Parts: sequence; C-alpha cells; structure tokens
Amino acid sequence: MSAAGLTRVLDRPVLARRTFLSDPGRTAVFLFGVEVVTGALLALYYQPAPEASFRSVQLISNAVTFGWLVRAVHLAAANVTVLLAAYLVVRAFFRRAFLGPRGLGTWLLTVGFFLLMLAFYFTGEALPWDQDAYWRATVTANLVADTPLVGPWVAGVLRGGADMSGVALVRLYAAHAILMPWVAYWTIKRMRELMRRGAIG
Amino acid sequence: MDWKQLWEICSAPDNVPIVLLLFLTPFYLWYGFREAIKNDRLITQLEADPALAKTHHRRHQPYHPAWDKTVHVWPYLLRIELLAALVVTAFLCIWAIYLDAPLEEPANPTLTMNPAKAPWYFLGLQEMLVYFDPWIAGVILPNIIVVGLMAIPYMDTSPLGNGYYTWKQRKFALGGFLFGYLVLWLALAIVGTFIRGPGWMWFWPGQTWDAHRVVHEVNIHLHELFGITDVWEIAIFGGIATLGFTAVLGGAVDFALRKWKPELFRKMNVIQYAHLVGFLIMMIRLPVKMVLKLGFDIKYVWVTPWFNV
Repeated sequence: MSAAGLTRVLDRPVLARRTFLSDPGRTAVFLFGVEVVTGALLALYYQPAPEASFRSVQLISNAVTFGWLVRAVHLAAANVTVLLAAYLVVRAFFRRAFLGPRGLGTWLLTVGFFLLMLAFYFTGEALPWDQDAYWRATVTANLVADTPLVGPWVAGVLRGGADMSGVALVRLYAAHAILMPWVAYWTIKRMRELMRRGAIG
Repeated sequence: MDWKQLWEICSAPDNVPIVLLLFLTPFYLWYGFREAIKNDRLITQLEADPALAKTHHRRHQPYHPAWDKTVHVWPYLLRIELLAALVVTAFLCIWAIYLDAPLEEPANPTLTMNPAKAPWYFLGLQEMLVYFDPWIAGVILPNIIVVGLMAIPYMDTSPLGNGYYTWKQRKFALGGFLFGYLVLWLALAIVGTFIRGPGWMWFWPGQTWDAHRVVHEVNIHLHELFGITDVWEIAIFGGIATLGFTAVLGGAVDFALRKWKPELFRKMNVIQYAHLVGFLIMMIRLPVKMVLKLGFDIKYVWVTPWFNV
C-alpha cells in the first residue's frame, strides 16, 4: 500500500462514540484471525491419519513448547466465535438489519457465517480422532445414511467407503483447513464490501 | 443432590458455552427489552404529537449535540480496535489456561461411548432423535432451520423497527423468533446437556448418572391405540392422522393470523403467506410431538415401511 493510500485509510471518517461492544462483527473477524494463526501453528505438527493423528495431538499437548496453550486457545476462540456468530444473527433479527438495499445480502452472509462456524467446529472436533471424535463422526454419517434416496451415497462420500475410514479423516481435515477458510475469507470480504457501500464505518 | 456431578457437567470444557449462554441470554434479553420499552414510550409520545415527530427520529441518538458525529480512523478507531484485540486475547488465554482442550482415549471402533454427546449447539438436534427418525432429526430439520432463517427477510418486510429496538411494533415477529431461539434451540440444548445422561436417559439435575439404571421405556405408536395391524392400513391411518393434523393446524394458524394480524395477511402475497404458515406449522409441531412422547409415550404417529413420523 502506498503512503497516500495508507493516509486515505487512516483519515477515513468513522462514526464517533462507539465502543468495541457496538460492533461484534469486528471481534468475530479478529477471532477468525486468531483461529487462522493458531490453526497454522497446529498444522505444523498435525498428521491426518487415523492413529498418527491421535499421537500428533498428544505430542502437541504434552511435548511441544506451549503446544497445549495454542490448542486450547484454538478451541476457546472457536467456542467464542460460535457464540458471537449466533449473537450476530439474533441481533440482526432484533434490529431488523435485513431491510434496505444492503439488508438482504448482509443477512444471508450473517446466517451463512453462523453455519460456517458450526461446520468449522464440527469438522475441527473430529480431527484428534479420539473416542469422542470417532463416535460423533460415525453417528453423523449413520444419520445421513438413513436419508432416503441420496443418503447412502452422501454417507459413502463422508466415510470414504462402506465403513468409517482414514479417508474420512483426510476429507474432514481438507474441509477444515483448506476449503472452509477460503469460504470464510470470501464471506468476510463480501460483508465488508456490502457494509462499506454508502455507509460510514 | 449430587453437587459434584453437577459441577463436573458445568465445568466440562465442552459445556462451558452453554453455561455461559445461561447467563448471557437473560442479560441481553433484559438489555434488549429495556431499550425496546424506552423506544416504545418515545413512539407513543411522537404519535400523540405530530409536530414533535417532524423534528425527532424514533431512534435514541447516543450523540450529544456538541460532539462530532464522525472522527478519523487514526487514532480513534484503531485505538479502540487495539484495546479490543488485547482484551479478547487476554480473555482467550485465561479461558485456555483454565479449560484445557479435552483429549479422550484413541478412537476404538469396538468400544461405544456412553453417553455419546454431540457438540453443545447440536444437542437440541440430538434430543430430537428421541422424537423423530434419525434422518428427519439430523437432516431434514436442520435444513428447515437454515432455509427458515434465510427466508426471514422475504417474509418480514415491514419497515418498522429497522435499526432500533422495539417490542410494540414487532410483537409477532419477535415472539416467533424468541420461541424458536429460546424453546426450540436453547431449552433443548440445556435438556441435552444437563438432563440426558448415559443411554440418553432422563435424569433430573442433581440425580446421579447411573449407567446401570433400568428404565422400562414404553413406546407405543398411535395406531396401536386403535388396534390396527395391517401394514397398509397402518400407513394410511398414520397418513390421515399426520396430514389431517397438519391441515387442521394450518387452518388454525391461518385463522389466527387473519383475526389478529389482518394487516400482515393483506400485505403478503400468496407465496410469502404460504411459507410463513408452513414454517409456523413446523415450529408448533415439534413441541406437540414432544408432549406426545414425554407425556403419553407415543413414539410415532405415522409408521410406514420407509419412514416413521
């Protein structure tokens, strides 16, 4: 960014008298940044294969310097982000923020962001491949498999075969660490564009 | 009372968000309604005094006349953002230090977890498994919730209440949303967290979770009450009962809307109105099914060879 561009950004007018509690969306974006940084650190040690993944998470928790803290912050920030995303939906509804020229787009993006955060949490929880993770993934896949018509096929894609296999773990990891971060990035970017248009702040 | 177990449930890292919600939801509801009542008073005042309404906006302006309305990003906004980032980071670190991320035993396909609980925000759906077929509770209902949320702007088009809190002008919309949020999501998640123990059995708070407790669960289907035995008769009977109930409920919702919300009915087109009634029916049917199961032990109303409702 050129010096003139930087000056323009820094001199941009914003609404006075606002506290950071008045726009939780910014906090959500910051938390997303925290997730990206801690997630990248975790990815340095994590191995997405059935038994290796458990051992790598154990290594992160017990041997790597501050590994346990990075992992715990990653989870704590995920919890707070889900709460905050839910709060954004409720708040948008209560203030009827879905009206007006920008309203529809921002509302759909807000709901989408909430769902995306749930999906992040869900896929992320499966990655250590411990008892909890394995059985949650199995129960979810079975549930999908019961759906008439498309169910068995979708469940096969999720499981990577007839039974829960290591392929499922790789797919969950790919969704969690490659696909969904880009979707989240796009969501945030689009939201910022919509918020900027004709508005201050 | 088993206080130790209650504390263990509350302090499990997986359950902390739901415990936080127990405090945050009442606080924000109180705050929202406080603002709404203030605005409602102002609206009444402005409606009574048209001259004042010309110069005043409904919304509370947080500005002092002497203050600037806008300021520069630097330093005013960046200062706040830096402070916010520091506070949030400190909060996350404290949370992470006190509640370490859990790690169970390695995955073992031969040993089933009991109780195997979903993440806290899916516990409402897991509770639905008691009342519906797994694929209805796990696939159809979440999709209806998603579509329903996204459809709100298409159905709720009144300009009143845009950007300010009000109760008086949006009783119906807020009431419906709060019913969905408080009863269908939060209350069910709380039941899933605190009440449901091993084997997904019902334990009152304070009752010890005894995995070996034997519950004589009676599950009857509605057609058994009428003594129908043939598979096709059962399917037809269930279809009539389910669709008939839905039709009666839809008629009741339609009647109530026309009676108490005539302006809503007049403003909406057919597609909007049909969707509104449809989503309301879905929202009312869930608690009805729960009452049938918990109160009368009726598991399914409509049993067919392919699906049960």
